[in-house]
Amino acid sequence: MQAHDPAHDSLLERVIVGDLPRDAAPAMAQLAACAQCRERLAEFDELQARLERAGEEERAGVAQAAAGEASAKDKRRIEEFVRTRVSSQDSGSRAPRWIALALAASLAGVIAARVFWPPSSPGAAIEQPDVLLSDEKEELRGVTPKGKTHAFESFTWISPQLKAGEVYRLTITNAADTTAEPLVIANIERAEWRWADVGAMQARSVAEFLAKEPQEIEWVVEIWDVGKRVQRSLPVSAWR
Amino acid sequence: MLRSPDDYLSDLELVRALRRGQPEAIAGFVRRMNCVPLSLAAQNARLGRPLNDHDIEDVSQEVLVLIWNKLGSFAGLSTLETWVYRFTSFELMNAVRRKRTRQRVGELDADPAVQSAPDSRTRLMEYEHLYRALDRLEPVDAHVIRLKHFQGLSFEEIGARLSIPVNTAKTKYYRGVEKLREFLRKNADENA
Repeated sequence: MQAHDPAHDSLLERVIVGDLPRDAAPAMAQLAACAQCRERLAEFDELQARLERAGEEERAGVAQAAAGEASAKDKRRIEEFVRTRVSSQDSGSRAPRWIALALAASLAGVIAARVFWPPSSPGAAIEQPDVLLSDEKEELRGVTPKGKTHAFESFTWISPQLKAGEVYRLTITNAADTTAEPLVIANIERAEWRWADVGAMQARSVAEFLAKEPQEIEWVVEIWDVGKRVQRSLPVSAWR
Repeated sequence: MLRSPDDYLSDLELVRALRRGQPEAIAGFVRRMNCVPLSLAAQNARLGRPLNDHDIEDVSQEVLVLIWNKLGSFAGLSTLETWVYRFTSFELMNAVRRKRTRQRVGELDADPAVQSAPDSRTRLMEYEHLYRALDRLEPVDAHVIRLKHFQGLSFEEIGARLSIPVNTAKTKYYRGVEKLREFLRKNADENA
């Protein structure tokens, strides 16, 4: 019986991703001769089979739903729901967009103030309105800039008390491409985020970040319960 | 239902247009959300109908609220129906569990229908563990795994969909399944 060789790891990876066919006898013989690799390979096989079964179930479920016809009652209920939400979004969304633009203007003011006046100058103080962007269920509310002049550097949100094992997850994405990897992901234990708290961001000021990153960025706060998203705030966009 | 890659982009556009309040998007979205009650009813039937029609109506409403609250996270990596399916599945499982719990503590009259077939229950638990473990992964790793196994895409297609090199897709896949394996093993150990 062979002892586990770290070289087996890359061999195993190639087998799992399908780069190495299962009938590649020498490679498979090497893995089979290592108890650790044999066990891992068996677990991967079982996991891939489970994923396939779950995928088949999901595809069958989606196809079954697509083939059916909702009842007239369900259709009315869905239409009423969507139209109500859209109209309440219309009445509510103008304020956040306006506010976000105001924030961007304030940030520009902060940056300009820092350029033209030293930080101690009274001219650097720019009034920043407190903003609350409410979530539909009003359980976890959207990101609220905190403080007067450094709104983009500190945020807070309103949320129920975290339970044991829960954390807030803040995600900042490029609003123009939400499929791209997030610019920032941070797990936070209190309902507040300060730019300088995030390890990777410590070397970069908010002004540096905004100078390099996209024109429009989006913040989302979620509560994670051992990795499961429990609640999510409405995404909040900001423009430079 | 077979869909071309353009359809996924269209779905994302539909959601964006809806969020901008465009009337034609509202009508289109309403039509597409007809899948919510249908999906719940179909899954409920496969589980041996643990929930009655009234329960399904309640869950359907909860799913709509959830979907609406999470619309901003729809990235167009799957069709709207597939994205919605996961919410229906998750909420249905929660509702079944809630109903079983209420029944156990005697708050409900005994309802034999709520006892789903053992194999359905096992399958339900299996998928639930899997979905929960997937949610614990880095989002991009989970995306790759879902695209591979739930949508049956090749790594080349996944790379194209996510705009990442093929080898990166493979690396993320392997990293993801390795973590999944660890999570599920730990879960199995705890249950044992």
